[in-house]
Amino acid sequence: LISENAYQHLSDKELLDQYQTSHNTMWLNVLFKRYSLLVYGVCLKYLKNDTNAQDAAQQIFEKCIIELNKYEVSFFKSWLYQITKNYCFMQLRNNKEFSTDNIQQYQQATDNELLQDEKNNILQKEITLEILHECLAQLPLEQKQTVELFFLQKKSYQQISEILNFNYLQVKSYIQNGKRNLKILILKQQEAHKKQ
Amino acid sequence: MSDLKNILSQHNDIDPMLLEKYLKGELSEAQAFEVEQLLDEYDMFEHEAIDGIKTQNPNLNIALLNVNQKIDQTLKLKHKERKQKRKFNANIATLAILMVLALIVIGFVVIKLFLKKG
Repeated sequence: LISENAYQHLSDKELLDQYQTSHNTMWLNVLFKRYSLLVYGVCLKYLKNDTNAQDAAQQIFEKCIIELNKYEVSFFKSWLYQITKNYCFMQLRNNKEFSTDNIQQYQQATDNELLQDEKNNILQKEITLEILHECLAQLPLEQKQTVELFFLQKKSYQQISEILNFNYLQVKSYIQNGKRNLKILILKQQEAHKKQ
Repeated sequence: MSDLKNILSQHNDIDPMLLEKYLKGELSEAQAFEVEQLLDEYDMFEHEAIDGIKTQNPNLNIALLNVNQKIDQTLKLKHKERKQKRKFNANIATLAILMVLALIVIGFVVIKLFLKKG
């Protein structure tokens, strides 16, 4: 279609600007292929099926074309990440609804059952919060401190490095590792709760 | 996997000037936080993609080729649709101009006939 390498030096913003002014899809071609592997990888993570992930990636890029004609996007990569995640969650939700979709069951659901569901949801949230606190306590001290400061107290990397006397890279690394470890711990705890 | 990480993280849409200012500590707290959130999101994006590829272990070359082909197809289709729409609009515009011209000619003939009768 085009020699894509010729435009690799252009930033996302420049490619988007070129598209917005000319409406020539070749700019989107360069931009989309930059991130096709990332989008496919994330789809694969959530949908757990190669074919579905490929189809989802196509759908996501189609959605991008429509959205880009409507809105101005400043940070394409993070915007694309949000679109990808939302699409995957939507797919998962639809699949879940489809597999458990039993119209009769829905019709028979009484108000009491709905109330019970609501109570269960609140209970579930409380359990999740409890698990989160338990897991946070299990993290190594540096990771625990940085994660708490960044996510709960909304401090910037710079502020954290000043508070804890770590350099920028250490803060970044502690937060990344902490987040990953926290996720693993929460999943383990949730499985344990389910078994109980 | 480190190669994959390098491939996935080679693009970054944060303005280099902004990044430089951030590293020099010249940004306001809110701006710095925004940059950090972006960096964090990019990390998450890459981490999740690597996670998906690692756990499902697909044939990456074939999968990527398929995805890129689908992007090509989608964009070609959009390009074609756009072209057709433009052609359709041009046709409508031409038709409208012809109609107006025809009305002017008819009007002119009618007026001339009236003048002749008068």
